[in-house]
Amino acid sequence: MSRLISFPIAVLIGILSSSEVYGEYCIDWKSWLKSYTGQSGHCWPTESECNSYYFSRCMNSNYKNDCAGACYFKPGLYPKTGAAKAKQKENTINTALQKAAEENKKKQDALKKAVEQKQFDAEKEKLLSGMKGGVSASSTSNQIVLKPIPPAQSQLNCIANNEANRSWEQHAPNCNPVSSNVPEPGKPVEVFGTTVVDPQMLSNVIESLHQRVSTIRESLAKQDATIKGLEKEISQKEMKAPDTKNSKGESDAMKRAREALAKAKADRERTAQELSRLEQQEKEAQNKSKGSAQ
Amino acid sequence: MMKWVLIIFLCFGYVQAAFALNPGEQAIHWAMAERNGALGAVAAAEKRVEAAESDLRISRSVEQDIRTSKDPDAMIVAREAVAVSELGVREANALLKRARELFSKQESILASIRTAVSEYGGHGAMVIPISGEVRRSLMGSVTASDVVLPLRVGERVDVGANSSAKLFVAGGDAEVELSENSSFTVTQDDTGKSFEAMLTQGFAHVQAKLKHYFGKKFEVRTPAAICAVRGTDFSIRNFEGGSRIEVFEGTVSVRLPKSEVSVDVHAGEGCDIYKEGGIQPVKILKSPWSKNVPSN
Repeated sequence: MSRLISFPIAVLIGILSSSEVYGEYCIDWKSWLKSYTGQSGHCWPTESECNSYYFSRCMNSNYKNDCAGACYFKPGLYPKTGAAKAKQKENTINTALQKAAEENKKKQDALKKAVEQKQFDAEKEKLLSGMKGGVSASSTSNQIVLKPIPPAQSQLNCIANNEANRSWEQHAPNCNPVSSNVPEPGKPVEVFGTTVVDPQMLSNVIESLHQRVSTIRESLAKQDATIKGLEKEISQKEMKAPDTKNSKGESDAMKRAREALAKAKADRERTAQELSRLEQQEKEAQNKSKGSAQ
Repeated sequence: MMKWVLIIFLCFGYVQAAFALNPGEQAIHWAMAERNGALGAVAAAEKRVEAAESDLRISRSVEQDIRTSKDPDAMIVAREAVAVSELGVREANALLKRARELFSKQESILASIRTAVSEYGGHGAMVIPISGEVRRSLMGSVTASDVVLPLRVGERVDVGANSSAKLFVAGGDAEVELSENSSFTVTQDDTGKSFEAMLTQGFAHVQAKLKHYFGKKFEVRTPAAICAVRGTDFSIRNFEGGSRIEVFEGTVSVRLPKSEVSVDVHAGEGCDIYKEGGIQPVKILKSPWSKNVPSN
């Protein structure tokens, strides 16, 4: 994580450090960045550039902990923005110095690019030469030529005859084609103990075979038809039969019906009990004396 | 010392008398309890109707489902369930109807008692016709009584066949249940001081709740016997040639009309009094006697 953060900071500082020489509008870094970069801050030649940096970076939530404060003018080479211009001569000198600095920078960039290209070429060559199987790089066509691969059968034999724990790269170069252990074809078998030589007899045998095959086919067809008929019959029976054949459905329906009946009977019994209680109440209310008198 | 005992005793008697309910209040209490009982019966019957209707709905739904699933055995059971449920609904509705009738009757009795109490004060004995025909006769004039009225001295209550009436008596929290074919005449009623009545015919069940009826008289007579009540629960039947007394609680002092000699009959005992033979030996009752009428 710290590498992810520090890398863009270092790049940013590297970029900024190239123009620091002529800066007069500066931003100071916070202490942690000072200690990290070893610089106190950064300066720009104009106030607008400084402000641009300030508003785009320092005010950004990701980098707001970088800047110690806003842009401030550092008296020196350049006049303060908006102040009266210095002498024309000084301007000319400044322009000349700026141009010289730019040319110098261009030269440095070109040199840097050349060094980088050289380094890239060297690494490329190293990579190509390091590839397995004798891969060689053609400097003219940039094509990779692979070593010829042995025939598939020979590769299989080679693998079969080598140890399983060795990789193909290890044993492939030493693999010599090995003829597989294919058994020799057997001798011709005689029909009914005799070798059929006569064409007429052969045709008879073939004819009899045809007949047997056709007979078997017919019997199979008959069996199929019988099976189909039986299946049809069963399905028809199933269609005709009510749900009572379904034991689960039957039990559910019966269960519900029995429950309903049991509940109705139980409630009727309770009603009868309630009726007898009411009758008793009526007796007590109306015929108490009468009841005991009888 | 004796003086203080006497004072305490008198105070106790006064307190009992002060807090004793008058017949009207007793009647209202009784009628309200009966009315509440009937209301409970109505509520119970309504629940039964609800349950029976629910059963019918369920049974019909099950029958409908089984009709589509084509299960003849289950269909038979479902149809039986529907039939039983329909019967249950009819029975529950009949129960509800009866319960409502009972409630309505108890309501009307309560209303009638309240009216009587508000009109007459409810201090004297009060007769409540419970069922059937109850007649009241005084000085030769007879009226069919279907409303609650105070019972005057000398007034006779005749309870017809398959009928019953209830009598609340002042002073003593006494209740007398008059059964069918009975005649009961109030001979003395001093609103709490003394009460005398004559059972000339039939059967009466007397409940006098006050145990100590100090200095006061509560007597039920028959042509054959005089029963002095001392806070008790007893029944008395008058038959041709005599009377039979059965005591459930407390003590009843029995004597012949023209005699000062009395016999105490205690709880669980009974005795017969014959016009010709006098008071018969008291018997311990193993089972209630009331249903047996003596042969002679």
